[in-house]
Amino acid sequence: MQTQALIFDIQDLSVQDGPGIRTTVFMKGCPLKCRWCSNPEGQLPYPELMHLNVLCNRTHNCILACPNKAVKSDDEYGAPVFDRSICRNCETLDCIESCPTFALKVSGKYITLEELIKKVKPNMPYYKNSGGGVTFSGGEPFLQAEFIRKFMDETSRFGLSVGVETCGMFDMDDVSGITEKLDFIYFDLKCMDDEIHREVTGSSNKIILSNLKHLAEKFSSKIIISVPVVPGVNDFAEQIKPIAEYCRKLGIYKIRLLPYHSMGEGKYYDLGREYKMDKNLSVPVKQLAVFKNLIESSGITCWLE
Amino acid sequence: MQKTREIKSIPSTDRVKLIRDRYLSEPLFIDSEYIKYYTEAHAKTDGFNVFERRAECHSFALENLTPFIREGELFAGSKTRYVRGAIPYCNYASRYILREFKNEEAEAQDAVTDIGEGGGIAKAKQIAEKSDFEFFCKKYLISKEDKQALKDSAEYFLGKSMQDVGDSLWRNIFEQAEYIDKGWQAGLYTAPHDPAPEGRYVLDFETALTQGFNGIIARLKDKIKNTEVTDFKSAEKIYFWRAGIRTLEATIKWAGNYAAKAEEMAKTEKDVKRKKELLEIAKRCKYVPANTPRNFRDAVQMFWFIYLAGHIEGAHLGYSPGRFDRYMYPFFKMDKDAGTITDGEALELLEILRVKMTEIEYVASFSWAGLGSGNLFQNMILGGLDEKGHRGDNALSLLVLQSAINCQTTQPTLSVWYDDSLSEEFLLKAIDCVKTGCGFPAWFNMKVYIQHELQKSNLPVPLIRKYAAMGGCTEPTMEGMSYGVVQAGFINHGKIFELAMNGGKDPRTGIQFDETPVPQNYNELYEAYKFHMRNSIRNWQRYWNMVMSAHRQTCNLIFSSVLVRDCIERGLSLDDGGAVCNGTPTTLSSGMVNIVNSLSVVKKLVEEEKFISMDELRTAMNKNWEGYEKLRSKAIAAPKWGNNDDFADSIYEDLFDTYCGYVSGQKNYLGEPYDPSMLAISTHAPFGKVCGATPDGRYATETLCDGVTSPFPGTDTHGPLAVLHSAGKIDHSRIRGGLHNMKFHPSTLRGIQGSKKLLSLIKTYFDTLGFQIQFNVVDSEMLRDAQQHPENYRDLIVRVAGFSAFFVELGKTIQDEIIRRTEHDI
Ligand code: SF4
Ligand code: SF4
Repeated sequence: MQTQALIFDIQDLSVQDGPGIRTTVFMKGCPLKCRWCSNPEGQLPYPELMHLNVLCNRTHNCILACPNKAVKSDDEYGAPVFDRSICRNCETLDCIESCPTFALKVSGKYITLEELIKKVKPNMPYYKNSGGGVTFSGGEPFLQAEFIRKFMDETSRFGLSVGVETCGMFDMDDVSGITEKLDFIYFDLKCMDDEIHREVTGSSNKIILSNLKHLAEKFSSKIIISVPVVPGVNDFAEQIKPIAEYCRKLGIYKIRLLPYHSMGEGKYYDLGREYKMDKNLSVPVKQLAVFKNLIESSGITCWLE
Repeated sequence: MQKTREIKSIPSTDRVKLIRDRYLSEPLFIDSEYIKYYTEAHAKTDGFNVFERRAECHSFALENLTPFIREGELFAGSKTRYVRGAIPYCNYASRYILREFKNEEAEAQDAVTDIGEGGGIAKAKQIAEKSDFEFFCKKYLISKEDKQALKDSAEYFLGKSMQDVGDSLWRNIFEQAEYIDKGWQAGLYTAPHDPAPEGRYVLDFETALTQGFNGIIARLKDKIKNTEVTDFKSAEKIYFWRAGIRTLEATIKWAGNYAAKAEEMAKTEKDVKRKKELLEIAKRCKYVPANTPRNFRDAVQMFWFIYLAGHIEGAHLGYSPGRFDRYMYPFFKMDKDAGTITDGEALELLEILRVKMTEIEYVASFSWAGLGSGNLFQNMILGGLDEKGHRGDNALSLLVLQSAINCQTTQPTLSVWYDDSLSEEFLLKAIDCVKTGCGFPAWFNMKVYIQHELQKSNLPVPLIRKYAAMGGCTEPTMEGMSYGVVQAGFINHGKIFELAMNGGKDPRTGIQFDETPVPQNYNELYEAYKFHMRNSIRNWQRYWNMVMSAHRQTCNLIFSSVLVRDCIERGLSLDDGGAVCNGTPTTLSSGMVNIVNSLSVVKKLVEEEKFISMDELRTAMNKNWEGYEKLRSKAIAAPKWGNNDDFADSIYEDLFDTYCGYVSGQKNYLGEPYDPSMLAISTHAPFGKVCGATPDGRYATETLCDGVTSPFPGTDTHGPLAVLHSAGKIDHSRIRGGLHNMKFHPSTLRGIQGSKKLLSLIKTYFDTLGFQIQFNVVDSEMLRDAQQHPENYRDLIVRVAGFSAFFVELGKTIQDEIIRRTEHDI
């Protein structure tokens, strides 16, 4: 079988995904369902129709075009509403072509190993001159570990640097042989309190913590911990401090803080989902500085993004 | 709301702030003083030798200009009596001026040209409504008295101006004269360029600063003394040298007028400090430009006199200061070593210089003003190499960059000659300047230009390294040794394509050009395209050569000739081929990317997929896609330039090659092959307005592509690196110029890491032999524009803390949030 991956985006020149000029490959599908997730299109492991509300002119071409009668007009605003259970199995995607304002697109497509290599290989001079490379992000990239393994086998021949951003929820056996070759691992740590973790992500953090421990035994120097600072979840010292202490214990000395924002909200509606966070919440800059100091006081380098 | 950016600064002193704010609050004026005296002298010099007449007219006018020194200024010299004044050069073209007087319908193209209405222009309107001034040429104020003088001059020059003399030649003897007229009507060409044809070159400041005008005059006198008149050629040389002396002496006298003015002002000045400054200005203006500068302040004053006098002599666009950080550095270093100037003092002078250069205005026919966006394209280029091939940046380069960061004015635009050897400090400072959002410096690949110039002129490499400069927006030129009237205007690729599609008939106006078979397939279309491209280029070049013969008789530059190598040595003016480089005249065009994309669509949908016939496609174009939405979707999905896809990229490569071949197949009026070039300035908007729909998915009247190698907005779906791969495929060493725009959201470039990324991007693009790249760091204003016109910003990605999306796909409230964050740089 052809090796392929389900991705929802590829971006050049990303900044927050590691050193140098990088191409980030966003893999689709994630075992966690964090409420604050700002890329919800990365969560479900299949392609999804996105209705870009802001570009929609309410022409209703899509309603007429759909052969499966999956689209209705929302009574109040006249916006098209899609029956996702039908769309999920749609093969024609007639609605997309019918839209004059390009307000419909599919998020998620399968890309073969060859295609991805063909795309990134010409970028080598840019990676080389800047110390950059490719970062697999998501979603959870390790859900498609096999693809990453083969990708790295192929690209190590021309010296491509590869890094990963993981939510930490994966099977350790799947990634053996990959992790040693990665140049860095951004590892998410939301909170140490399992109960809260369960509540806001839908899963226990036991596997995550154990994965982190295992990884740190061998590669603590290439791990950077990402902590999303989310109001009501972990925006108090009692939650932040244990993270820092745990990292220290594992010999991990880099933590980046990603303050919550609600900019992903629109995408939830574009995907026909509900946004469950209170979008008016935010973490005051002052508070972030306090956390930064707190973390740094345990001898860890910390920065905000 | 206060805008904050990662890099933002303010004028370094109150003095600069005063001078800059004065500029910002000033309306635009027409000043007829120069042309009044010029006309007076012209009437008295009938029968003179052409060089001497030209020199006399300019010199007499220059000597009689009213000197103006304004509050706060540390060096003297103003082009006109107004802060923002323009000289109407009736000697170049006067009919458009008379036409304005009569408020006649402007040229056919004016209807499709927008000029800015904000700022100074709006203020001019207000003032005109309640004062003695009148509103003129849609953006200037003119006094009653000046208006009469201008009218007299304009009438006097009827039949005598460059345009009239040129017209009377080509309109009568050129068998393709009608073609040119049609080209103007159809929008195949930009409007006649005669009102402001000069510029795009750099004077030999180095020689002037090291020899002084007295030194140059002595050389000229020597030449005269040692030349025996044996034929008309040797006699002409003597006339030329005498004319040169006249202009140099007039410039010294003009500087003297400023000295006298400063002294007079000092007498009544109460402020002791200012009085002292005025006396210093007086002393300096008596000393330079006759003698060589004794220090940096002298050098700045001398630079300004030379630069300005040259600017006054000709109707310039793209006239540039060149490698300022190189030729000014010895004076700066001398003072620094002696401890007689601080960085802060030098910075203040440089910031003032920025405002002074921005104060220069020009007036041209309405359509040209719209095209150039009122921009004078003065280009100061930094860095590069020295003659031995070592890095060319220095402490002064850093200060020039800082002055642009502190004092954000539109002129001069800054550029960097990129080489890997440039110091990191300099490069990072240049990136800081980019981050202010001003759009410059633009980056140019030294390596590629050296290759171009070697192929073109075969000059020694050390010379190319040392004197490579930029004349105008993106056209390289050899500083102090190149001919400056380089082009006739632009050719519209969009229109050529329409002619090819429709058998040589312009669908908008119905004008029939050379008839060609109406194409039924891709190859026929491509052949027709080539035919019309060659035809339009060839006719345009031949027309312009004839205009240039009139230039020699009426407007040959004398002052500038003696300040360009080797005119003095050869005893030849610029128009007689006195310059070292006479291959500079270029043929310009814009909009090729839209044609490449259109051809790609035809190849894909008509040729390969047989989805539609050529006739149907033509109908779809004529109906502006109405009823052809599905076809348009398919057209949009077809391969496009800028995605590292050989299907489309190979069309560009081939078309580019063909274009270069056609252009250099014709000789310029100095007897050398024309040099191919492509730019956009602001032609893409008016050119787009006269074009119907094109197969690339563009609607009728929509703007054309704004660069040479940058993709059409929304068609680059494979990310910025793919765009650069495409752009890198072209042999940039074949053309003089190039333009590649890239947009970034500031979040992409944040911090030192962001700066370094941008530098590696530039370096790598230039490793692949790209020639030019410039960056637009998106600001909140642009994002608001993106809310209004999402179609132009489809590729703009925003990434904030893990979140990623195309800006135009976000909801209004989130867009607003991002705009807020952009303003506060978070
Ligand atoms: S076709 Fe497009 S614009 Fe029209 S209603 Fe559907 S999504 Fe909206
Ligand atoms: S994706 Fe398919 S089923 Fe869903 S609306 Fe579009 S055409 Fe209909």
